[in-house]
Amino acid sequence: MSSPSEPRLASRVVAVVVAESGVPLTETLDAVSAQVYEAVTPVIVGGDKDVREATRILDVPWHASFATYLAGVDPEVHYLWFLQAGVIPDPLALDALVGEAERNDASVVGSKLISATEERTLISVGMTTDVFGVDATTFVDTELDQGQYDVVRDVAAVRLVSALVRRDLARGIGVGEGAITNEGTSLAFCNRARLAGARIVIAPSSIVAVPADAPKSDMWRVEADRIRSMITSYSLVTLAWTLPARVLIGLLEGVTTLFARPWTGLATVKAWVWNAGHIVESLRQRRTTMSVRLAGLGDTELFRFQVSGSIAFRGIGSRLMDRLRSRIIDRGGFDIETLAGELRQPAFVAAGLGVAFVALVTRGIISGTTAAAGFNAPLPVGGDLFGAYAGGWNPAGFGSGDPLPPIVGLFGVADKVLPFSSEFAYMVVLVGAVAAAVWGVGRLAKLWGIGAVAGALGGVGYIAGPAAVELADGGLVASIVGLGVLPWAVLAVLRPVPRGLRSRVGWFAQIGATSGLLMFAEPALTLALVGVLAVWLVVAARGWTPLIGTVPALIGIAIGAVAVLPWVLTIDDPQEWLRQGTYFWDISPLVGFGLIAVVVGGIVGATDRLRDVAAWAGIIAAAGVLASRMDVGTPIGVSGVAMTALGLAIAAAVAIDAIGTEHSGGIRIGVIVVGVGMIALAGSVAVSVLGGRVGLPSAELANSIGFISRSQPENTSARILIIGSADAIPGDVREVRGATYRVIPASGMKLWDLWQGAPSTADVALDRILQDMIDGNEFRGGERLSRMGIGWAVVLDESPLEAVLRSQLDVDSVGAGVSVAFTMPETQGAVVSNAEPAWVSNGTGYTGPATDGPVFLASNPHSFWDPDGWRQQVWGNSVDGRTGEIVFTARALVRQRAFGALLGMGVLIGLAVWGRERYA
Amino acid sequence: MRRFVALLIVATLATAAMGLGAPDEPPGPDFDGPQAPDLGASAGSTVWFCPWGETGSEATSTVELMTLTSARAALSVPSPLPAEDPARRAVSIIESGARTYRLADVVLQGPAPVSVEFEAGPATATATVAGISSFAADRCVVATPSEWWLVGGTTRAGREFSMRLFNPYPDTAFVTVTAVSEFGSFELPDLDALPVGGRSWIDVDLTDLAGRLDDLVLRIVATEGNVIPSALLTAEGGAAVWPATGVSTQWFFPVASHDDLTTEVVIAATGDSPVAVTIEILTVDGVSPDVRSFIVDPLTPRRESLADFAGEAIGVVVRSDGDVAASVVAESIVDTAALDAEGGSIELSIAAIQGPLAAVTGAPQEATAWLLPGPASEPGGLSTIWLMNSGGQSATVLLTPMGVRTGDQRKILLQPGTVQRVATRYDSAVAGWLIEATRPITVGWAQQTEDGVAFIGGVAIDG
Repeated sequence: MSSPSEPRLASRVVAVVVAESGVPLTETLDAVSAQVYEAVTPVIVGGDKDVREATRILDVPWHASFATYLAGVDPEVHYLWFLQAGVIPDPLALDALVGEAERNDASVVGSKLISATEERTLISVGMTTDVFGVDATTFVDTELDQGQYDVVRDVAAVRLVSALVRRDLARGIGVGEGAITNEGTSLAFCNRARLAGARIVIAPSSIVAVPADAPKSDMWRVEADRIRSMITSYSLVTLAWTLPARVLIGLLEGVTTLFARPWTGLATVKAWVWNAGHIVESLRQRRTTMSVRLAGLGDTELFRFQVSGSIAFRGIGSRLMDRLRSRIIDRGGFDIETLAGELRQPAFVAAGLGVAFVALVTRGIISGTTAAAGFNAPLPVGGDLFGAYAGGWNPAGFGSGDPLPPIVGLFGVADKVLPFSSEFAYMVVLVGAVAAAVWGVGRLAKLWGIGAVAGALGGVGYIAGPAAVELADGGLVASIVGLGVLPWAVLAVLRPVPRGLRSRVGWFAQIGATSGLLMFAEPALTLALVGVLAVWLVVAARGWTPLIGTVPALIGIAIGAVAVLPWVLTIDDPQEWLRQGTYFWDISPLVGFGLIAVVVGGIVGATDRLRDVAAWAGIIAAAGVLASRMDVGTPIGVSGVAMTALGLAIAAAVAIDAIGTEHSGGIRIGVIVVGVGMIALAGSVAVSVLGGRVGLPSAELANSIGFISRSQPENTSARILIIGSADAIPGDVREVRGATYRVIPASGMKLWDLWQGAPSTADVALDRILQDMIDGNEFRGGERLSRMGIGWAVVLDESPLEAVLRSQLDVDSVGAGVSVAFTMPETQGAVVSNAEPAWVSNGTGYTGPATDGPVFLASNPHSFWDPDGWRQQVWGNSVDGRTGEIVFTARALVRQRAFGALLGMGVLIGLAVWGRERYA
Repeated sequence: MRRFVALLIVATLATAAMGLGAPDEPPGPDFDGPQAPDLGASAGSTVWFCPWGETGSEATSTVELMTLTSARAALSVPSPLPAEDPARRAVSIIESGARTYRLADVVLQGPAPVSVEFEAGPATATATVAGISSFAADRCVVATPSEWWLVGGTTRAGREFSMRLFNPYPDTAFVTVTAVSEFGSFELPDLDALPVGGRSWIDVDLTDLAGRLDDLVLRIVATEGNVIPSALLTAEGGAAVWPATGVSTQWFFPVASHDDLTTEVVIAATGDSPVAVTIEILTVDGVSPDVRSFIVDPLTPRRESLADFAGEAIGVVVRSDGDVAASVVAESIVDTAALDAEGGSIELSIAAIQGPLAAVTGAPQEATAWLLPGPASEPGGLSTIWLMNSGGQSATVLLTPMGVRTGDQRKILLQPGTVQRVATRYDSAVAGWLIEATRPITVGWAQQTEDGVAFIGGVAIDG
């Protein structure tokens, strides 16, 4: 520390105390009065009427704002000492500031800020920032002030909480009206000062204590002022890359801090919105800055005191590591010495293997393109998938107004929100679901104290075991995504009900949010959720508390239905929905043996502590198998398979957790039996891993119709008649006398093409054509198929319809490599007009050359195609083609419900987050 | 105890689950391909194939169309050039009627197998071929079986026998032809997996491939796609065409004789074992007591001569206890010096026989309504409609001439077991006849011109 200086002459100082409502001024004013440096007079700036009243009582001049004060400041004043109300400067603080200012010819001198507690920990000793204004010298871990930073030096900026500024500088560049507690405001001021030629130093001998309860600026406001400091100080060239880079870093922070608190997403958005709203003011300030800028000074001057790279970016990695460590190891502290040891811990290894497993089992999805198989298909490029779900046109087959399932809406939201391509959105959802599945089972296992390794292996078995493979093999992508959410929903309902209103609200909202997300993926899995809860209550719950919590839990699950409002309101008869379709899980003897071994071994091999959990897992696994084989409807079947997957995973985790512990022979036998069972089930895991597509089928349809897709414009509206067995044809099929077929776009099947609505007139017309051909009453069926927009027929596997097509005089077979294919006499597409070129698909609508009058739209009739001039023509639509566009008018009520559903989910998620911290 | 209870519950659930069998497979398609069209004229759209069409300097063809309802029809003739579109002509028949069209008005290209597509029915077609000194005709056929039989051919001296394989479909068909003669069954290596291109035809000269055979029966199997085979038998001064047929246990030949021709019935057993065949000959006076019964071996076709009935108007009914294919072939009466002086069956000499030829395939069943496109439509010739009632009761038959207008009807009582001939003169306004009867009968017609004679089968109206 420097020794007190001799009192000096001149240098009149005005202590400008920046008041804030609720913050007492007395201590600060007393401290100012107690300054050794005598030539100081205090003024108060800002605050509300209470402050003004207080200043009147204290007989201290008051000014409404900096601008007001600076406009009338006495020219005899040399320095302004900015002080935040509430701080307590040491008696020698001002003297040190003035001394260093005059000694170093500095125009801005900052004090050392310490906490006004017994420990006197350091808060700030000058600021060194990165190019984005983030302070690199923030003390993450508390440090005691032991004079370790007591060197007078040039710095990028000083905190205006206590800073001595030359009066003429302050008048020249203005101070701005942001709170001086804010690092961003301080940085902005100092940047402008530096560009005006000012020298900025830190005077560590000037010590100011900051009370713990001193007001702090919100995170968003600090960020907003940092952004503003860039706008007001940097050259246009620098702004051209720094602003976009800050946006990207902000996005990345927003995503990663979901997992590593505090979450910065909202603050980032608010900061940018604030800057957008104050851009005029910022530009005015920029003009002032540039006008007073010293010649020859520019960004380089500012860069001199900045660190390279992005502090925020580096912070992301360390926050994630902290979070990962706290989740897996639950140890406190984080430093380099323990990192190596921690990385060798089994939990870290398990986490790494989990990540590697997810990457391995989804590598085909990450690197490859998706093709239509089962009920899985790529997302439409540039199509409004969410719009189709939310009251739009269902384009499957000849189209309909029937609703698309919620999974379409889920992918639609992802496609809208995520950048880059639709393929990227698909990949994120699916890979995210797989990762969430593995992680979710681990978290669920952790609820009962099962170790990380056991939980991770359970997660592997969950998403790659025989149950998941059964769902994936059918191309049930909705169920796979739902499997990712299911363990989180189960975790939410099985958690103990917390104390405290906020935590309970958070718990309730968490149930609603996870249930809602589960329904958004696959509504049928709600049955699995309710099923596992019911079994839990019977088998494993103890006391009345779980039972009491069941009612709100069930209500929370029901509230989750808000997520699928557009779809759930279309179900007239829930029983009919439950019984729709057929599902039967044909379990091979090997898989059946494996399932039994894992379940039995899990129950026998569980430690006493986990005995009930194992019983629960075993029972839901067995109940799930029963439900999946009752053939009472697809929803029940699919939910049964999901229950089996979860039960199997937990049973295996329980047994694995018992490995290595000292237990009775019975438990050891149980563990061995589980091991044998897992070996038997290894084949299922291998299927998932080898394919790299989570067991989802590969691109057979694409191979069969590729020659057509490649020969046509990408957005052709022509169609292909696909013939074959129901298993070979993606999505819903139609039947004619027992032979299955369907119509797909020649541009390739997309997700919204999978679920056909109830048959309507166009479907009936096609059925009639096929019947006539079968009955031998039609021998130029190709012409009739052409009029329906069908340009080709492709046979995927054996079907008697192939011979029927061959019996037609105008249907030519074409060599198509892997498949049998036929062409029709014409390829006219779905819109028939007399104009050229042909109309093409545009999302679910069509575009083409404007016509003088109506055109024929070869789809199932619906008046919303042209609310003003539509009429049904034969089995299709006559619509106005004069605008060159045919667009389906979305049903407003359904659309409102869909967006309302999103809003509802947002509220649930928000409440879950708000209540989560307290709960955890 | 809790573990035990849990295991018990799991065991119960698992046992119940494993006890559930897989649901029954859905029944699957109730068809294995397109249903074969009815053999007769049915309501709805139909396509008729007339493989023996010719357009050129050596021979010309006409096509007679007949329909009982307003219908549009399209005549389509494939081009001999590959990848070229067929020549097409669309015609309309307003209300019911019959029309005659020259195939040369559609295209001039020599051989011209033609398809006639009707958008509505009942409708049918007949095609004629008039050569320099020959005349042949027969009813057109709908494509039915994938296994066809051409019965009645011969490659003995003085005869030229060829087969036309017409593929009207877009895809290439693959056809295998095997033969049966008096020497048994034999393969024709050149006709094994023979490709017939889509929308084209092949003429196969059997005189070269299987010469000097009295009887040559051909079995044509389409292993891929389908073809419509037809036969062309020519001699000096005569020619006959007839389509291949499927198989049946009975065949009706209402037209089986002509004044100057000797009729033979040729029968082939199409199965693996011999069949017992009975031939009834119906005359204007009733069933002849000369009922022929014999066994036909699959390896040897039977050619049964009806020379005894030369000069008489007869019809023939063939019945068997197994599937057979049959045809009637009529040739010029031979030099009396070839007759067997001891009577009995007459063996035709292998000496060259000159004069007209006629051949016809039978109808597999009787019906109460028939379409006869063609009688009285040929100028300079005599058409005779033949009616045969093989039942036990008499039938009242109404004959209605049709063309650009419907003519005056005639009513005839047809006694059981008899045939009757109804002569019709050329009338430019008539191009076909509708025959309706109160009992099932069979109908055909014969056309005599200065160049030759043709036997043509009628087309029953289905339903």
